[in-house]
Amino acid sequence: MTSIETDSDDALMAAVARRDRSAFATLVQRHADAVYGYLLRMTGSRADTEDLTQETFLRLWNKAGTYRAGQVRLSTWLHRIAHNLAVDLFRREPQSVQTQPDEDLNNGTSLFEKQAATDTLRRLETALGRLPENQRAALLLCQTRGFSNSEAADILGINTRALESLLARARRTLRGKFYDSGDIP
Amino acid sequence: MNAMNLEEFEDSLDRWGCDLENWPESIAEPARGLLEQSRTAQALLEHAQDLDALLADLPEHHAAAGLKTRIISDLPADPWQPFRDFLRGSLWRPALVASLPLLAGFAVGLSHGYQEPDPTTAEMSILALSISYEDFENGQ
Repeated sequence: MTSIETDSDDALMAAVARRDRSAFATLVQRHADAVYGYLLRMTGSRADTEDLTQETFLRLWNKAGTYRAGQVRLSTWLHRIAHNLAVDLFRREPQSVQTQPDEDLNNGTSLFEKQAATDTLRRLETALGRLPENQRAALLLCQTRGFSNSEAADILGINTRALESLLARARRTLRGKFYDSGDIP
Repeated sequence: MNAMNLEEFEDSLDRWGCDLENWPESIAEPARGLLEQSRTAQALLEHAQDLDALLADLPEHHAAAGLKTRIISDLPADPWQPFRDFLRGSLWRPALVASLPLLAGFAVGLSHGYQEPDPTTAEMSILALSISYEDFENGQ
């Protein structure tokens, strides 16, 4: 017996292209957390993140017909949409780019307090939030979302060598910001 | 095998991460050689591993259930949905599909209508000969 919850992403996307709302709902349940988590660390703002997450899935609904199964994983495709929306936001409203994560990231979430109530992790989060956007994106995609270098390059719309350079700069900068702040374990 | 210095090792560490299995083999091999000999290289690797471990420990942020519900419920209405549901759930679907070629034939037929075909060259020649023969019989 098969149910829609166990269908592959590709099968669900084919159903979404046929305007199947229950398939869409399953994809939202499956991928919304990952997209939301990425966008929250990119924008540092919960309000912006909610808007962009909703817009990401609206685009999935509207562009499902252009998704080519087997060419790219759905999570890669979704993160590419989400990343482009974040970049659009940075261009449109540069003042909305927060160099330091807002209270939601550092203090407000009970999950954070429960799981990582250490000063070290909090300061790492802050150091991460202070990285330039493209470096932060590269590091988040490869280090916390588990994308390969080539997948991350695809999401950011750059070639793999450029991605590797970004990663190198990101790790160097993060190391500098984090360890120089006196958090050497 | 080319030797690798500490600066190159650190740069590679930043590019490809702590797992040497993910490095290009041409670079991973001299890196392993350097790691066997240099305590500084070992310390750099450990340092990078510590940072990776901390990054992996960062908490996941979850979308609120309310947001997921809103994303699903705010989808634009599809005016064709009732028709789609009807086709999807009824026995009419195969019958409708089977009748599509017939409908297409009607559409093509109606759009062209009936036209008298143009006379061909052979038909024109026969017509011309018959007219000439009639003239001959009439003595002209």
